[in-house]
Amino acid sequence: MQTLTDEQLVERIKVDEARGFAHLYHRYKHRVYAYCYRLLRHPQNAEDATQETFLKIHRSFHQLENPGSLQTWVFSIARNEAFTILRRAKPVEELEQAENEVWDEEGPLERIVERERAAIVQHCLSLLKPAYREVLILREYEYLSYSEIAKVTGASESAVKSALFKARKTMGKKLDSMMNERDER
Amino acid sequence: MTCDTYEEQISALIDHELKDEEAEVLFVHLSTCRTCRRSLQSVLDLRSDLGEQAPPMAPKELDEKILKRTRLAHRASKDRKAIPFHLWTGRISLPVTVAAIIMVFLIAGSLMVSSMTKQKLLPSPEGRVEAVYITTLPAVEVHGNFP
Repeated sequence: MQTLTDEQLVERIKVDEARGFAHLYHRYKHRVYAYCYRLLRHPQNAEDATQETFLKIHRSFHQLENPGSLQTWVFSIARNEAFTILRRAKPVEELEQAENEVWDEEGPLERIVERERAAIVQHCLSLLKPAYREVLILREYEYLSYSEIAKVTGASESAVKSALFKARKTMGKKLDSMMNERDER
Repeated sequence: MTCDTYEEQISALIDHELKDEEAEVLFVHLSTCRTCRRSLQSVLDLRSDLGEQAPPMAPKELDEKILKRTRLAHRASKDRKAIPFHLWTGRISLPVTVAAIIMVFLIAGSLMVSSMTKQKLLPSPEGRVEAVYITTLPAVEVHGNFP
Protein backbone atom coordinates (compact mmCIF):
# COMPACT_ATOMS: atom_id res chain seq x y z
CA MET A 1 0.00 0.00 0.00
CA GLN A 2 2.79 2.45 0.89
CA THR A 3 4.40 2.04 -2.51
CA LEU A 4 1.36 3.13 -4.51
CA THR A 5 2.05 5.82 -7.08
CA ASP A 6 -0.24 8.84 -7.16
CA GLU A 7 -2.00 7.38 -10.21
CA GLN A 8 -2.58 4.07 -8.40
CA LEU A 9 -3.78 5.96 -5.35
CA VAL A 10 -6.37 7.80 -7.46
CA GLU A 11 -7.62 4.44 -8.79
CA ARG A 12 -7.73 3.09 -5.25
CA ILE A 13 -9.91 5.99 -4.12
CA LYS A 14 -12.32 5.28 -6.97
CA VAL A 15 -12.68 1.67 -5.76
CA ASP A 16 -12.62 2.22 -1.99
CA GLU A 17 -13.19 5.89 -1.25
CA ALA A 18 -12.86 5.82 2.55
CA ARG A 19 -9.61 3.86 2.74
CA GLY A 20 -8.15 5.42 -0.37
CA PHE A 21 -8.80 8.92 0.91
CA ALA A 22 -7.27 8.08 4.30
CA HIS A 23 -4.17 6.93 2.45
CA LEU A 24 -4.03 10.14 0.43
CA TYR A 25 -4.44 12.15 3.64
CA HIS A 26 -1.58 10.38 5.41
CA ARG A 27 0.63 10.74 2.35
CA TYR A 28 0.14 14.50 2.05
CA LYS A 29 -0.86 15.78 5.51
CA HIS A 30 2.62 16.80 6.72
CA ARG A 31 3.57 18.34 3.40
CA VAL A 32 0.35 20.32 3.13
CA TYR A 33 0.57 21.43 6.76
CA ALA A 34 4.23 22.44 6.42
CA TYR A 35 3.48 24.36 3.23
CA CYS A 36 0.56 26.20 4.87
CA TYR A 37 2.55 26.81 8.05
CA ARG A 38 5.51 28.31 6.20
CA LEU A 39 3.20 30.44 4.10
CA LEU A 40 0.92 31.62 6.89
CA ARG A 41 3.42 31.76 9.75
CA HIS A 42 0.67 30.81 12.19
CA PRO A 43 0.00 27.28 13.57
CA GLN A 44 -3.77 27.65 13.98
CA ASN A 45 -4.20 29.20 10.54
CA ALA A 46 -2.04 26.45 9.07
CA GLU A 47 -4.29 23.85 10.73
CA ASP A 48 -7.42 25.53 9.38
CA ALA A 49 -5.97 25.74 5.87
CA THR A 50 -4.90 22.07 6.02
CA GLN A 51 -8.33 20.98 7.17
CA GLU A 52 -10.12 22.96 4.48
CA THR A 53 -7.70 21.65 1.88
CA PHE A 54 -8.46 18.00 2.62
CA LEU A 55 -12.20 18.57 2.91
CA LYS A 56 -12.15 20.28 -0.47
CA ILE A 57 -10.08 17.45 -1.95
CA HIS A 58 -12.66 14.97 -0.62
CA ARG A 59 -15.61 16.97 -1.95
CA SER A 60 -14.20 17.65 -5.38
CA PHE A 61 -12.16 14.55 -6.01
CA HIS A 62 -14.23 13.76 -9.10
CA GLN A 63 -12.94 16.99 -10.64
CA LEU A 64 -9.37 15.71 -10.78
CA GLU A 65 -8.92 15.13 -14.49
CA ASN A 66 -5.37 13.81 -14.65
CA PRO A 67 -4.37 11.32 -11.93
CA GLY A 68 -0.72 12.07 -12.71
CA SER A 69 -1.17 15.64 -11.52
CA LEU A 70 -2.50 14.72 -8.07
CA GLN A 71 0.44 16.39 -6.30
CA THR A 72 0.09 19.75 -8.06
CA TRP A 73 -3.71 19.57 -7.63
CA VAL A 74 -3.32 19.04 -3.87
CA PHE A 75 -0.89 21.95 -3.56
CA SER A 76 -2.99 24.26 -5.71
CA ILE A 77 -5.96 23.65 -3.39
CA ALA A 78 -3.74 24.19 -0.34
CA ARG A 79 -2.45 27.39 -1.91
CA ASN A 80 -5.99 28.68 -2.48
CA GLU A 81 -6.95 27.94 1.12
CA ALA A 82 -3.79 29.54 2.50
CA PHE A 83 -4.25 32.66 0.36
CA THR A 84 -7.91 32.89 1.41
CA ILE A 85 -6.71 33.08 5.00
CA LEU A 86 -3.97 35.55 4.07
CA ARG A 87 -6.50 37.75 2.29
CA ARG A 88 -8.77 37.66 5.30
CA ALA A 89 -5.88 38.96 7.36
CA LYS A 90 -4.76 41.53 4.80
CA PRO A 91 -6.55 43.46 2.07
CA VAL A 92 -6.16 41.90 -1.37
CA GLU A 93 -4.53 45.03 -2.75
CA GLU A 94 -1.67 44.66 -0.35
CA LEU A 95 -0.97 41.16 -1.64
CA GLU A 96 -1.22 42.05 -5.28
CA GLN A 97 0.21 45.55 -5.40
CA ALA A 98 3.86 46.48 -5.17
CA GLU A 99 4.97 43.60 -7.37
CA ASN A 100 8.53 44.82 -7.20
CA GLU A 101 8.65 44.70 -3.45
CA VAL A 102 10.01 41.43 -2.17
CA TRP A 103 9.74 41.98 1.58
CA ASP A 104 6.41 41.62 3.28
CA GLU A 105 7.11 43.56 6.43
CA GLU A 106 10.02 44.37 8.60
CA GLY A 107 10.13 42.43 11.87
CA PRO A 108 12.00 43.61 14.89
CA LEU A 109 15.47 42.30 14.34
CA GLU A 110 16.38 42.76 17.98
CA ARG A 111 14.03 40.00 19.02
CA ILE A 112 15.73 37.37 16.94
CA VAL A 113 19.38 38.27 16.59
CA GLU A 114 20.26 36.08 19.54
CA ARG A 115 18.65 33.03 18.07
CA GLU A 116 20.33 30.29 16.16
CA ARG A 117 21.03 30.59 12.46
CA ALA A 118 18.18 28.28 11.51
CA ALA A 119 15.67 30.41 13.36
CA ILE A 120 17.01 33.51 11.64
CA VAL A 121 16.72 31.79 8.27
CA GLN A 122 13.08 30.93 8.97
CA HIS A 123 12.39 34.43 10.19
CA CYS A 124 14.00 35.80 7.05
CA LEU A 125 11.85 33.49 4.91
CA SER A 126 8.74 34.64 6.74
CA LEU A 127 9.57 38.26 5.88
CA LEU A 128 9.34 37.61 2.16
CA LYS A 129 6.14 38.63 0.43
CA PRO A 130 3.80 35.61 -0.01
CA ALA A 131 4.31 35.48 -3.79
CA TYR A 132 8.07 35.03 -3.33
CA ARG A 133 7.80 32.94 -0.19
CA GLU A 134 5.52 30.40 -1.85
CA VAL A 135 7.79 29.71 -4.84
CA LEU A 136 10.77 29.28 -2.55
CA ILE A 137 8.82 26.90 -0.29
CA LEU A 138 7.48 24.86 -3.21
CA ARG A 139 10.97 24.55 -4.67
CA GLU A 140 13.16 24.16 -1.58
CA TYR A 141 10.85 22.07 0.61
CA GLU A 142 8.47 20.35 -1.77
CA TYR A 143 11.00 19.88 -4.58
CA LEU A 144 8.49 20.79 -7.27
CA SER A 145 9.81 21.53 -10.75
CA TYR A 146 9.25 24.93 -12.38
CA SER A 147 6.40 23.56 -14.48
CA GLU A 148 4.74 22.05 -11.39
CA ILE A 149 5.14 25.32 -9.45
CA ALA A 150 3.64 27.12 -12.45
CA LYS A 151 0.62 24.78 -12.33
CA VAL A 152 0.15 25.31 -8.60
CA THR A 153 0.48 29.08 -8.70
CA GLY A 154 -1.08 29.73 -12.09
CA ALA A 155 2.00 31.66 -13.22
CA SER A 156 4.19 31.03 -16.26
CA GLU A 157 7.41 29.01 -15.95
CA SER A 158 9.50 32.07 -16.78
CA ALA A 159 7.71 34.03 -14.04
CA VAL A 160 8.49 31.20 -11.60
CA LYS A 161 12.15 31.22 -12.66
CA SER A 162 12.36 34.97 -12.22
CA ALA A 163 10.54 34.97 -8.85
CA LEU A 164 12.84 32.25 -7.51
CA PHE A 165 15.93 34.16 -8.58
CA LYS A 166 14.64 37.36 -7.00
CA ALA A 167 13.58 35.62 -3.79
CA ARG A 168 16.95 33.89 -3.41
CA LYS A 169 18.99 36.96 -4.16
CA THR A 170 17.07 39.19 -1.78
CA MET A 171 16.91 36.59 0.93
CA GLY A 172 20.62 35.81 0.63
CA LYS A 173 21.48 39.49 1.06
CA LYS A 174 19.11 39.95 3.97
CA LEU A 175 20.41 36.83 5.65
CA ASP A 176 24.00 38.02 5.33
CA SER A 177 23.20 41.39 6.84
CA MET A 178 21.22 39.82 9.70
CA MET A 179 24.03 37.38 10.42
CA ASN A 180 26.59 40.18 10.39
CA GLU A 181 24.47 42.21 12.77
CA ARG A 182 24.11 39.27 15.10
CA ASP A 183 27.85 38.59 15.03
CA GLU A 184 28.63 42.22 15.79
CA ARG A 185 26.59 42.14 18.96
CA MET B 1 24.86 38.76 -21.23
CA THR B 2 25.27 40.65 -17.96
CA CYS B 3 26.08 39.17 -14.57
CA ASP B 4 22.44 39.78 -13.55
CA THR B 5 21.28 37.45 -16.33
CA TYR B 6 23.90 34.88 -15.34
CA GLU B 7 22.73 35.08 -11.73
CA GLU B 8 19.22 34.15 -12.84
CA GLN B 9 20.77 31.24 -14.74
CA ILE B 10 22.63 30.18 -11.59
CA SER B 11 19.34 29.99 -9.71
CA ALA B 12 17.91 27.78 -12.48
CA LEU B 13 21.11 25.71 -12.57
CA ILE B 14 20.84 24.59 -8.95
CA ASP B 15 17.21 23.63 -9.67
CA HIS B 16 18.29 21.50 -12.66
CA GLU B 17 16.11 23.66 -14.87
CA LEU B 18 18.80 24.87 -17.25
CA LYS B 19 19.21 23.49 -20.76
CA ASP B 20 22.57 21.85 -21.52
CA GLU B 21 23.66 24.58 -23.92
CA GLU B 22 22.72 27.31 -21.42
CA ALA B 23 24.61 25.49 -18.68
CA GLU B 24 27.70 25.26 -20.89
CA VAL B 25 27.70 29.03 -21.49
CA LEU B 26 27.18 29.64 -17.78
CA PHE B 27 30.09 27.39 -16.78
CA VAL B 28 32.38 29.24 -19.16
CA HIS B 29 31.31 32.54 -17.58
CA LEU B 30 31.72 31.16 -14.04
CA SER B 31 35.31 30.18 -14.82
CA THR B 32 36.15 33.83 -15.40
CA CYS B 33 33.75 35.77 -13.11
CA ARG B 34 34.40 35.85 -9.38
CA THR B 35 31.15 37.75 -8.63
CA CYS B 36 29.01 35.04 -10.22
CA ARG B 37 31.00 32.32 -8.46
CA ARG B 38 30.16 34.07 -5.19
CA SER B 39 26.51 34.17 -6.24
CA LEU B 40 26.57 30.44 -6.91
CA GLN B 41 28.07 29.83 -3.48
CA SER B 42 25.49 32.13 -1.93
CA VAL B 43 22.46 30.30 -3.39
CA LEU B 44 23.98 26.95 -2.40
CA ASP B 45 24.48 28.25 1.16
CA LEU B 46 20.91 29.48 1.24
CA ARG B 47 19.66 26.08 0.13
CA SER B 48 21.65 24.40 2.85
CA ASP B 49 20.40 26.93 5.46
CA LEU B 50 16.78 26.39 4.45
CA GLY B 51 17.20 22.63 4.59
CA GLU B 52 18.54 22.61 8.13
CA GLN B 53 15.24 23.40 9.79
CA ALA B 54 13.08 20.36 10.61
CA PRO B 55 9.78 20.53 8.73
CA PRO B 56 6.72 21.47 10.78
CA MET B 57 4.56 18.40 11.35
CA ALA B 58 0.77 18.31 11.17
CA PRO B 59 -0.67 17.92 14.69
CA LYS B 60 -2.11 14.50 15.53
CA GLU B 61 -5.56 15.87 16.36
CA LEU B 62 -5.97 16.98 12.74
CA ASP B 63 -6.18 13.29 11.73
CA GLU B 64 -9.32 12.74 13.77
CA LYS B 65 -10.91 16.06 12.77
CA ILE B 66 -10.41 15.58 9.04
CA LEU B 67 -10.91 11.84 8.70
CA LYS B 68 -14.02 11.91 10.89
CA ARG B 69 -15.60 14.64 8.79
CA THR B 70 -14.78 12.92 5.52
CA ARG B 71 -16.10 9.59 6.85
CA LEU B 72 -19.38 11.28 7.81
CA ALA B 73 -19.63 12.95 4.41
CA HIS B 74 -18.92 9.62 2.72
CA ARG B 75 -21.62 7.84 4.78
CA ALA B 76 -24.15 10.60 4.08
CA SER B 77 -23.55 10.35 0.35
CA LYS B 78 -23.90 6.54 0.50
CA ASP B 79 -27.21 6.89 2.38
CA ARG B 80 -28.48 9.33 -0.22
CA LYS B 81 -27.64 6.85 -2.96
CA ALA B 82 -29.39 4.00 -1.07
CA ILE B 83 -32.82 5.74 -1.01
CA PRO B 84 -34.83 4.62 -4.08
CA PHE B 85 -36.53 7.29 -6.15
CA HIS B 86 -40.28 7.59 -5.61
CA LEU B 87 -42.52 9.65 -7.85
CA TRP B 88 -44.16 11.31 -4.86
CA THR B 89 -40.87 12.17 -3.16
CA GLY B 90 -39.35 13.44 -6.36
CA ARG B 91 -39.97 16.95 -7.58
CA ILE B 92 -40.58 17.86 -11.18
CA SER B 93 -39.92 21.41 -12.12
CA LEU B 94 -41.60 22.84 -15.24
CA PRO B 95 -42.01 26.33 -16.64
CA VAL B 96 -45.43 27.84 -15.78
CA THR B 97 -46.57 27.92 -19.42
CA VAL B 98 -45.75 24.23 -19.95
CA ALA B 99 -47.52 23.32 -16.72
CA ALA B 100 -50.59 25.39 -17.82
CA ILE B 101 -50.70 23.67 -21.24
CA ILE B 102 -50.52 20.24 -19.61
CA MET B 103 -53.35 21.20 -17.24
CA VAL B 104 -55.53 22.42 -20.15
CA PHE B 105 -54.92 19.15 -22.01
CA LEU B 106 -55.80 17.10 -18.94
CA ILE B 107 -59.06 19.01 -18.36
CA ALA B 108 -60.04 18.94 -22.05
CA GLY B 109 -59.14 15.27 -22.25
CA SER B 110 -61.25 14.38 -19.25
CA LEU B 111 -64.23 16.30 -20.69
CA MET B 112 -63.85 14.54 -24.02
CA VAL B 113 -63.75 11.14 -22.37
CA SER B 114 -66.75 12.15 -20.30
CA SER B 115 -68.79 13.19 -23.36
CA MET B 116 -67.70 10.11 -25.32
CA THR B 117 -69.08 7.86 -22.62
CA LYS B 118 -72.39 9.69 -22.62
CA GLN B 119 -74.97 7.03 -23.45
CA LYS B 120 -77.75 7.26 -26.00
CA LEU B 121 -81.18 8.15 -24.68
CA LEU B 122 -83.07 4.94 -24.20
CA PRO B 123 -86.86 4.72 -23.97
CA SER B 124 -87.93 3.25 -20.63
CA PRO B 125 -90.75 0.76 -20.37
CA GLU B 126 -92.95 3.54 -18.99
CA GLY B 127 -92.37 5.51 -22.17
CA ARG B 128 -89.98 7.98 -20.54
CA VAL B 129 -86.46 8.57 -21.88
CA GLU B 130 -83.57 7.44 -19.68
CA ALA B 131 -80.09 8.88 -19.92
CA VAL B 132 -76.92 7.46 -18.35
CA TYR B 133 -73.83 9.61 -17.87
CA ILE B 134 -70.50 8.10 -17.00
CA THR B 135 -67.93 10.65 -15.89
CA THR B 136 -64.25 9.94 -15.65
CA LEU B 137 -63.09 11.36 -12.35
CA PRO B 138 -64.59 10.10 -10.15
CA ALA B 139 -66.15 7.20 -12.06
CA VAL B 140 -69.83 7.58 -11.28
CA GLU B 141 -72.83 6.50 -13.26
CA VAL B 142 -75.78 8.84 -13.13
CA HIS B 143 -79.17 7.45 -14.06
CA GLY B 144 -82.17 9.67 -14.65
CA ASN B 145 -85.44 9.98 -16.54
CA PHE B 146 -86.74 12.69 -18.80
CA PRO B 147 -88.76 14.69 -18.04
